Amino acid sequence: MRRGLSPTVISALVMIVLSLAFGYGSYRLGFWDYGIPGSGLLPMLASAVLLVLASILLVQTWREPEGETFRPMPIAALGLIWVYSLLLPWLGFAIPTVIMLFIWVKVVFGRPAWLAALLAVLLTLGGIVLFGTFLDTPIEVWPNV
Amino acid sequence: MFEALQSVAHGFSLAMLPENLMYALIGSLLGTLVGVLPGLGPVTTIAVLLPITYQVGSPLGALIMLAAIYYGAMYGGSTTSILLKVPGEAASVITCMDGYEMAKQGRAGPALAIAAIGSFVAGTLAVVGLTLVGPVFARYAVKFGPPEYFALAVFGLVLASTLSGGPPLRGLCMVFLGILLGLVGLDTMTGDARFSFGILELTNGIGIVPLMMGIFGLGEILYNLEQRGEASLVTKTIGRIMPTKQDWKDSVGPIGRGSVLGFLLGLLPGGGAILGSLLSYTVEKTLSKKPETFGKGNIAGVAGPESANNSAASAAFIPLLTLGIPGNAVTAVLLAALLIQNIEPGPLMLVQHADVFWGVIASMYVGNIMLLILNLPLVGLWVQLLRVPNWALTPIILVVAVLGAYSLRNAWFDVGVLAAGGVIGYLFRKAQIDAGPMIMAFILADLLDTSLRQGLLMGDGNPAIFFSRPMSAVILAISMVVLVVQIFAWRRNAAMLGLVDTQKEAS
Repeated sequence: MRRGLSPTVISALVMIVLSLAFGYGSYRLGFWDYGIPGSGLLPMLASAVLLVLASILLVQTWREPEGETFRPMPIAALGLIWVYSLLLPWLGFAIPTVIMLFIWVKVVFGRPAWLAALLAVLLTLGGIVLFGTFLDTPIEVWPNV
Repeated sequence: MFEALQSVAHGFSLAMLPENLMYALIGSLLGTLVGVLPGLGPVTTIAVLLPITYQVGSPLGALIMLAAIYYGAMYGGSTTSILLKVPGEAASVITCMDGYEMAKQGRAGPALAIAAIGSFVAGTLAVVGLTLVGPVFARYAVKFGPPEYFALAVFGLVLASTLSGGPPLRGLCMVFLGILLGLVGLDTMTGDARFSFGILELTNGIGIVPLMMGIFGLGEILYNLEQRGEASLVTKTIGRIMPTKQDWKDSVGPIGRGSVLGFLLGLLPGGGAILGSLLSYTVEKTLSKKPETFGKGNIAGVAGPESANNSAASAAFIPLLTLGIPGNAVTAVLLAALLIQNIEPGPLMLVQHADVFWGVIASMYVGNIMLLILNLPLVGLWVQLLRVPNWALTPIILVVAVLGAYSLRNAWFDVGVLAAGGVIGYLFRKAQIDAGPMIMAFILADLLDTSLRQGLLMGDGNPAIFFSRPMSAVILAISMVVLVVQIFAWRRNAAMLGLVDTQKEAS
């Protein structure tokens, strides 16, 4: 693998960014208030340690790239799930789920369209019956109009 | 001892109630079913099925079902190890080595039977140990104060980070990341909202269940999308199930030794089952008169490790129930489940929730019997499940995961947490970083924070209190020693591997 943005490097960068963000938030919360350890004490300690450790990891893995290369299909599938999760509050469960499952079976797994459609509808219905009827979960099935 | 037996008898009277028997059976079936499916380990299984247990009427029933799902998944995991050479969960990796070879030789039946029987014997012995040792642990744990709990939490996290198998640096990164994520939400001491950015759902913290479902469930699904080739299922008929006389003779010792080893290691927070099965394999190979047969279908290579990992799985309930310290990612999920049911595990659990404590222990005896009955005759059925193609299986898991995440707080926000968990799980999987330590740290973050601050208050702001109290000082010292030893051991192993590779190139 060539040097640069390997999964390990990305992981280290994400941890560095998070440690800086949490560190700033901890500073604003305060470490010690009126003789009492504040809410920001442990987050600040953890942020500082994580920043150091993640920086070491970044330096190590930048020089010697590690991890497996990313593949397009899982990234696309992840994107599909993200879009799906963003649509749920607006469109309810049924419509986005049928569409997502259809794309999943047809595009990700390359199955015939009729099979993808059948599976999408059956599984969506099955989920609504299992959780909505048997487990009494108040699912928002349709869009809020 | 007499008191413990009386308590167990009371536990049995609760565990044998028809509804609790039903929960144990459902949990065992579900756990074995999902544990059999490759790519879904006990953590994923429990995380995905956790929301379903909320519908159970009583905390005892819910915990019985969850515990049954846990050890059911451990049983199921060994089936894929033997038939597919795909470990159902991390602790079954060792079983792949000799189990799959036995299957190739047409001896899948005895391999599966010995795995099931060894697991039953080890699980039962471990539950006996739990019955006797648990109350003793709890008696000492009552004397623990915030400094001791802080020290225990640190010990647990050190072991989790260093025993996950990877480089200690990555494990430690995961621990501190988990601590930060676990502190999002309301501060239990002051009521301040931490890192919630004004989002109401985040004020209550990041949901641990959707996060875990995302990391272990969704992350695994995404990673498996790359593994396009199907694992080669051993297609020979299972044939004779029962082991031969020689198989029994060769298995008795490994089952006994594996049970004890697994129990002792399962008491330690952090990777007990994995370490137990690894050590058991090493011990059996060392003691064997024919060590060269290991890796080529030696039944002791299945009997010992499978017994050790089930024994460790039961022993992990001791620190969970008596101290409130989860020993691994699975018991961390169970801890989350207990807290959601308003049961706080710890030394007072024996007093305040004695019914739940002894009811769960008694149900584990019953559950082990159920699993033995389920696994042996139904092994043919489990094999058929392995033929379910991924294009049918993954959509089912997705629907269950999405609705499961939603049902926790009736909030689509948690589906977003599930998706975020999927990103984390996939990214760290590609980076070959184990997310287990992060989950443990997430669960322990609140305990760590509260005990740290309460300890400092007790010491008037002086951290020396953590070292002046004997118990916390000893535990912290052991933690540091373990950390340093693991780091040096890892560096030495890495250097030796480098040396070996250099020598190979030279020759």
